[in-house]
Amino acid sequence: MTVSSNNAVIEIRQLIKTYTMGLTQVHALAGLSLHIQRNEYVAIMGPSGSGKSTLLNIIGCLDMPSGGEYVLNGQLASQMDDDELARIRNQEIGFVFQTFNLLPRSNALRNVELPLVYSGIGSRERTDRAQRALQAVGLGDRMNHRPNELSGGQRQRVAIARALVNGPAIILADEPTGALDTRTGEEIMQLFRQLHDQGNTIILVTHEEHVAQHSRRIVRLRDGLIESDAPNPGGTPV
Amino acid sequence: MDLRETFTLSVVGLLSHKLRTFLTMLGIIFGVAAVIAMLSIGEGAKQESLEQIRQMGISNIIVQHWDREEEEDREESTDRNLSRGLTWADARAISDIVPTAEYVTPQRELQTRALAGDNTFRTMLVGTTPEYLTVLNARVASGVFFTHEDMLESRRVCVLGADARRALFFFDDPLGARIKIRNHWFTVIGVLEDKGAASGKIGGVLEVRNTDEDIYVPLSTLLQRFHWEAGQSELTQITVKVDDPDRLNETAQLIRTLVGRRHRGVDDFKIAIPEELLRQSQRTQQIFNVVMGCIAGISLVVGGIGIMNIMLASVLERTREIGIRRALGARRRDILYQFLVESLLVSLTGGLVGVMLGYAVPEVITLYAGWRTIVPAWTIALAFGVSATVGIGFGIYPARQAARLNPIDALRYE
Repeated sequence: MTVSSNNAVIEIRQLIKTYTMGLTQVHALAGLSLHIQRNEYVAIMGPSGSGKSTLLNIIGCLDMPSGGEYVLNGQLASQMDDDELARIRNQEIGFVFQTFNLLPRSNALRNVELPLVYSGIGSRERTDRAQRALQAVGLGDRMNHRPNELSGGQRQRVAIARALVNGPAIILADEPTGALDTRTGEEIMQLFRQLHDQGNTIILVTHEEHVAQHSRRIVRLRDGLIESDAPNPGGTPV
Repeated sequence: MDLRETFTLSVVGLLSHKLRTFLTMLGIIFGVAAVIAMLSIGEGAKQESLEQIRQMGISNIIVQHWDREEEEDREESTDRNLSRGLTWADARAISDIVPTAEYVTPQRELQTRALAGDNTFRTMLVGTTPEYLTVLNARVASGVFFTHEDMLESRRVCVLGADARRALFFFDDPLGARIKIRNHWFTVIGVLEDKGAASGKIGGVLEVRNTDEDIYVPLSTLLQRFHWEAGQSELTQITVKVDDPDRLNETAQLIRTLVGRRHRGVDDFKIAIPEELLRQSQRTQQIFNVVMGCIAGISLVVGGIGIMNIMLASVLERTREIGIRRALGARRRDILYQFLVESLLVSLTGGLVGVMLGYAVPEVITLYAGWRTIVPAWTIALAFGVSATVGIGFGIYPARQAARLNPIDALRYE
């Protein structure tokens, strides 16, 4: 659709997002530009209200920018219609939420199958792929458990399996350890590191420094603009 | 997501709230059952009056004696001196003077008891003429009907209605047997075919009784053999078969003038046209159907509103689920179908149960109230059509609401 420079999976130019709250307009993003390459591991940090979640939601095609350009995999996402965005969310992006967002009445397997249901994949192949994804996150023996029968860490693993199952280009995580205790959070971060090592592109939003230290590049936001953008040498594999 | 997937999803969604789903369905169940029951009662009543009227003859005019004394004061009993009531002579006059009267049959009825061996049977003894068969479309099942010769000689012969035969003779052959009616012995010479008649009142005017219970004798025999009080009308009824059904009204008018003149203006008879009554009763029936249909229709609409209400609540309750599905790649259309199929399932299942109930209710009514009910086949198509329309009509708004939600807003909804 538009110029795709070298190996960039995400190209953001002059991105603006404005919310109207009552009578005042809030600029969550004020003309932000960012490029992310394939197989990068980026942490987006910043105080609350800095626009980091808004940025992640726009990258994940859950929200639309008010202005600027967002190119995902060479496609101009900021001009797509709803059906195309749904397809992108389904196939190009795997989303991991702070509160897991699993369907409470479905078991782990059904939850992981969900993105495949919406890509129109037949039930046998669906189950097969969902099982493999659950095994990959170490939950091969918990497939028939419902979310309320799983611990927080296990739930987040189910959510990660669900994010991975359709083989997305990028994995987005919004405070993935925010609802977990430190030890479980570390386990989840190990899992992300593994995924990165396997060649996945990962972008995560956090306000915790020790979580961000797992990444290879840290982008800090303030008032809807990038404050600093630097590689993180500490993020090398342990 | 394909339709089968959506269907499964909806079934699972509905089954997770069994009681709520059932209660929502109840509105449709009752609505559909009410529609079917109302229509089947209406249809049954229509068939019944149609048959009764056909039994009286669709091209007939009925002149009935009307005893004023029963209905009004005795003040006018002096009229008795002017008119002797409906007479055989009136019947002959109609036959002679009215050109459109093809057949005329007089009738004198007498409520009495008949005896055959040890069996007694309360019956209506009907004195009439051989034309009765033609005029009333009756057929002889076995034996013969009496003839003009029997009339002339006032022979003591009788013809039994189907029910009278059954009551008096069971499975025996009644032909040639003798039955006793008020000290007179009659020889059975024939039995009429079962008319499957029922008693009732048509248009609130004309009484119809079950003529299968009648016993027929020659009019002359009846008038001569039995003792009659002075001043009683000679005939109960004269039935006139008109050769041209289009001239029923004119003929009735002519008969009214003729008999009225013969009775010296005394209003002691009434004229009924079954065909006219049929049209009247059909008109009444139509009004009944429309009113009942409206009431039942309202209950269907109420049921539909129930569905809409629950679906709206369900959309609100499942906002987060909608958000999750949208975040994982569900299109607006997928969400729309999910909720639409749910409401359609509720209304169609309700419709199905309603049809079953709609079949059962008329059966129960027939059993206890003795009304005839007929469930017309097209009502089932109607019930399904209506419940599908209700399901889509009242389901589309909540489903649209669900599909319109923004993924991020839905996800953040608490």
